[in-house]
Amino acid sequence: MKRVLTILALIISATALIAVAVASTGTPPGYAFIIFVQGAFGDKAQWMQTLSLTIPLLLTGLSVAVALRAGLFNIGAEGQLLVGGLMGAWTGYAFVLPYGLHLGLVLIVGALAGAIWALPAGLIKAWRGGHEVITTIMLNYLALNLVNYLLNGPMRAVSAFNEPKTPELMRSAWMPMLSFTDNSLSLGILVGIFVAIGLWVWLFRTPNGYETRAVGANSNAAKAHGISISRTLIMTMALSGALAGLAGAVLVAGVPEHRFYRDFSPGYGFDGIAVGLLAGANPLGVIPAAVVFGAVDSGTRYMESLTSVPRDIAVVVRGLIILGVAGLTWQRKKGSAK
Amino acid sequence: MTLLIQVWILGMLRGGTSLMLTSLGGLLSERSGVINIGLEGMMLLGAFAGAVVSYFTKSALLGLSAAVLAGGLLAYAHALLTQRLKVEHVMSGIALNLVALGVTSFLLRRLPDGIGSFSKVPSVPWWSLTIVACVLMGVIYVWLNYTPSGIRLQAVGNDAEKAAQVGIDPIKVRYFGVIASGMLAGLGGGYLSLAQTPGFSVNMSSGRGYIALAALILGRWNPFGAAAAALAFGLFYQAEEWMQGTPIFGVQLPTEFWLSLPYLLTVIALAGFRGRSKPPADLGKT
Repeated sequence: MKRVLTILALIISATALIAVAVASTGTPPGYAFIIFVQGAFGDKAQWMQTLSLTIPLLLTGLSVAVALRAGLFNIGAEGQLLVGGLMGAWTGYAFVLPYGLHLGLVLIVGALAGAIWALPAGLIKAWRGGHEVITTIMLNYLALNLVNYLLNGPMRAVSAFNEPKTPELMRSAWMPMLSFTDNSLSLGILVGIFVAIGLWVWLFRTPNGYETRAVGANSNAAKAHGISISRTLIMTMALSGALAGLAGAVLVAGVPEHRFYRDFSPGYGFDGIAVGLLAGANPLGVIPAAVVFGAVDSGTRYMESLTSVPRDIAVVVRGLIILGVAGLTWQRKKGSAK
Repeated sequence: MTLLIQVWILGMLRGGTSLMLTSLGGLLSERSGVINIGLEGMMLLGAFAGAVVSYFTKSALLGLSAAVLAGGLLAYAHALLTQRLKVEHVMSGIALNLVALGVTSFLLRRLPDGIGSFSKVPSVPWWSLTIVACVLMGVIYVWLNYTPSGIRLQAVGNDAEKAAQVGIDPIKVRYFGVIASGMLAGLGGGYLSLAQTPGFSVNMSSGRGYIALAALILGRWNPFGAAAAALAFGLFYQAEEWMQGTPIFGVQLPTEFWLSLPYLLTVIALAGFRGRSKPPADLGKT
């Protein structure tokens, strides 16, 4: 009972905090909320924007969810996404290949780059016991610097005078659009949904997926059953990185610019943490969770354009959602291996 | 030559003080058995509160007090979540970091521009806080090893159940450890915005909270080790400021390389580090 009251008090104070923050900008909270909902689901165009913003969150959410299943916190999705996006862009502009093959290669290279970027974190965790939260965060900063360096020098488009950006991808590497009438939603959304289903099947219907979950649930028991802990940790971290790298490649092939540019990701990787947690680390649950966050993004953008409320409010909302929903569903089990 | 060495040593202290303070904070939390990933957010909130209060009151000391309080406040939330609601420690820390980043970025836009400027925010000389950090290092070492309350804190971190059997209240002890860690991290943040580079900018802590945690691990959860590792990282933060554009063996390295140094070295240090000394046995379980 006391627990329920504490949680209720937390939710009420969180809502009050957001309302006060909104009111402080001079917009009545009730009105801001109506505008926010209109911006997320108001009409077909807003729906399209919401779903477009869902694409990267879907894949980064899956990345975080898969890692969580093995008991790993991948905070490095942001860096993996950047590296995957940039390497995907390079594959897309530097080679001439037939249509389907080219796009496929962009996605594969992006996923590989993300996996390679996550690997040190897996290795250090498995062989040295160094906490993956620290290593993945360090790798984020390294990714950001590497991407900035390549974008300012070797991969910079010749004509980019003011904003560093790569050349445009060849048309053979573009992600097709879902509808012919408007060019707002790419096929990336379907890629994300297929990957989610595939991951669910792997986790819950195959021996290898079962082993991965066993390591996350109770590593001591898994060890006793002869499952290789270090191999599972390394493989899962690489898979998690591959998914975040794929998110970057899908983005670069699907955004209207069809190139990689500065500030390519406004923090999709970090949002993926919130999505993965909200989904309870279930790949199928990631789909609705990603839509929720896509709606928060889409709604706050709309709100920013029509009212005095800045978009930063979304960051606060995200943090509070993690605290409220995910934090309370991720209880520590007594005697668990962590 | 001696001048050069002096410059490097001073640079190391200047770049490392915030890491030292935060790392010592992390020590108090982790020795009581609570993982504190939230140090980053506590630093950030501390840096923000310090700059804002200093700007409005025109007093750097009041600013520093506000930094300590802000860090402690966020740490209180961490203690409440992990102890009372039994939330996963890492989860709670990540969420608090996000909230701190969101709140500070949001509020910074609503406040006058002076918060971010060197001339409008009264500051303290940086070395004054370096002295505070060194004194704290000694005090924490003596307190942990030679006073009943310090030994109790270690006992809770190593085996909470045994500690409870001899009449120690683990929850109370951990509340103390976590809140104290937040206050130190807040001071570490205040150092950034009131001493090292006066004024606040978005995401000012930029990963230092995590680097402080890495220093704590490399320093084997011991005050002197943690402080030494923190200073080593501080040196590389300074190196980045000095070395940009300086050719090494005739090769001009890109700016991004120097910016990457502290992070790169953290990864290399963790990769080469064998956990010969164990973390507190009950870390993260309680």
